[in-house]
Amino acid sequence: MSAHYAPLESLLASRTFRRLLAFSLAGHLAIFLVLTFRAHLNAVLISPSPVLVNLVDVPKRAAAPPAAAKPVEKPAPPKPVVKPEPPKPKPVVNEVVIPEEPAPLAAKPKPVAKPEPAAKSAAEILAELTTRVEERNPPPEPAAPSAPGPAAPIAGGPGVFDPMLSPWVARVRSVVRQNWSGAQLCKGIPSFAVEIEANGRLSDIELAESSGDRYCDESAERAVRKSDPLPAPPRGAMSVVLALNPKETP
Amino acid sequence: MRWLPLLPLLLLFASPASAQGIRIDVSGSERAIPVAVQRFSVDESGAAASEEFYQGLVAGIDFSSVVVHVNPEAFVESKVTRDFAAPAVPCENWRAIGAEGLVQGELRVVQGKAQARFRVWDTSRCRLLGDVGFRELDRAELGLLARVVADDIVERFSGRRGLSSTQIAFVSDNGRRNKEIWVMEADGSGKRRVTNNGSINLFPAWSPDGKTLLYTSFKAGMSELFLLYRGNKPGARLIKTADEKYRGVWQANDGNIAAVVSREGNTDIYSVSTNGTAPQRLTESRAIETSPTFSPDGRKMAFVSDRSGAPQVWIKDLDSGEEHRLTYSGIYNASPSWSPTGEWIAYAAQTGDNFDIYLINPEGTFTTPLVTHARSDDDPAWSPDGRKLAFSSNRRGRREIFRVDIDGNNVTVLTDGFGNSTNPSWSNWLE
Repeated sequence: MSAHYAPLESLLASRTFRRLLAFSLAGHLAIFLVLTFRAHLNAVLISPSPVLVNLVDVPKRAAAPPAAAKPVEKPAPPKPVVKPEPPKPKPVVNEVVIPEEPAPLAAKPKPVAKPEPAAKSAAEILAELTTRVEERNPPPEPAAPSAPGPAAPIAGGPGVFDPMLSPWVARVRSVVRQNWSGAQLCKGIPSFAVEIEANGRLSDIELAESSGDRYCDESAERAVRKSDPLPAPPRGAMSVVLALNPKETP
Repeated sequence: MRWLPLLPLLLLFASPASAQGIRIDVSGSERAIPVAVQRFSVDESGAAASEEFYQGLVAGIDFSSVVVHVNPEAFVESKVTRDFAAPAVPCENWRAIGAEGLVQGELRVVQGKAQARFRVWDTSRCRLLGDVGFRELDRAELGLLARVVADDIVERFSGRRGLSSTQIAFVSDNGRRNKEIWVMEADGSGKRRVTNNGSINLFPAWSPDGKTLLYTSFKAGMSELFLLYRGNKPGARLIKTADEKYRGVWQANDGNIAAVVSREGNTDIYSVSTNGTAPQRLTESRAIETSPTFSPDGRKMAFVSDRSGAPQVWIKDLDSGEEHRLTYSGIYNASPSWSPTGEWIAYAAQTGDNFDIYLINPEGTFTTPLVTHARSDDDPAWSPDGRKLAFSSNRRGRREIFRVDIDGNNVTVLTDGFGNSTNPSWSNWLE
């Protein structure tokens, strides 16, 4: 027998020690049960709310660093500019969508037509809808609300990163850019309303906005036609406005 | 019209696609428009001219940097125009090799004249760009004919006439002691000497129609002005007085010449006609006036005068006679050259020990450096479309002629290994 075991044996033989040991075990068991029970309670009563994140494309023009960030700016030699043109608003290129203001539907997710207790006629609902639409988006001329403009089209919510659409948009951008020869003819930005079928074929190509220069417009149109078929859109047929900006982007 | 307020809503339903559309911004690059050029068909008369014409044609197209010819080895279709009058071409076969355009034509030599007929297709929409083109020059000017046709083709795709049918005259010693007048194509090729008198010849200046060169020569002892006609036919001495004539330029389009003449110790600018009428004085000051250049409408003249103490650029209104100083910055500004578009006057400004080339608008409200270098740049001369300039520079040691775009890009030396070269003058389009 080793001398080490002798004190333990004598302790276990002690009645007082056995009582204390029993208390200790009971206490630990109680704490364990309480903790287990509380955790279960929490899981039932307080469900952790998921963090909802909207990834938004930041417009490029907002990305200009503040002046303080670059205290020492190299005095760039005055660029030999052909004409001192008035500074144009920098075109936003790396964006899926350029929101001018939030679209009503995305900004206010409540249903447009509230369930009314009293039954309304279809004509009444239509009239109400029309009023609302006009309040939000007053048409300048009742006769020309359909004029295609580059600011009009919106998809997937304004400025919202669309994980399905974005890779496709990047491919479209790349394909059309590679097919565009003669961009140096352009000063303005011609844009085309294009109907893309589910298989990527272009069914309709229409000059939506001229650059002001026929030869520039024609070079851009050749680029669009040369890009037919485009990669198939991820959600089937869709309409796009392709705006061809002659400026090289980094 | 009670239903009118409903219209926007109805349209909303009528075009659901537009509500789903997105805008995709595409950026551009410097890629030139690829165009397939079939060799022009020839009969017996044009067979000997075919190769030279084709080489001049594709070189002229490529010089534009807006249009570029497609390597004919890639052609699926014939490399030579088969049926010039065919109502249609297989556009898909040209699109398949990446050609956005197609050039076809025929070349004939008739009674010493080379004739080119051509047509240009947009293969993207499969339609003709413009009508059948026709150009004719002497058989001896076949190379120029090819470049004229090339510039026509470039214009049909870009709206801008190419510059391959323009030439640059300049002064060079070509490594010898005397200075002669030389002419080269705008791309720097085809240099040939057009004077050969063993003396000092300076300041070539093209007439507006590109058919006559005016230059200064010491071949008769003192400084005189001479004319040289196209085809190297020498012309007469211009002003038959005992005065020294330093330099002449053509006044816009009226056929008159502005000449810097020293008379009784006073150097002024005079206007003379090529048929020898008496010179008419354009500047009256007792100071030295030199380097006249004219606005495209011919109603204003910029020139250099030291009447303020140092050489500066001044402008004279030829209608009212009013004169005012244009350049105020810098102590020495010279060599003004008014752009053919009228928007700019290029000039050489002294900065430190050297000169740089600046642009200033005729109102004098905006000026910007165009070409700067630690060594000197001088003698700016505009291309006829106002998009490029030639100038001389000693940045590589000797004086050489360079070409630059109006945005300051693409500085290219044109007289590499050609001795000292100065005084470029860029011709109008030749045809």
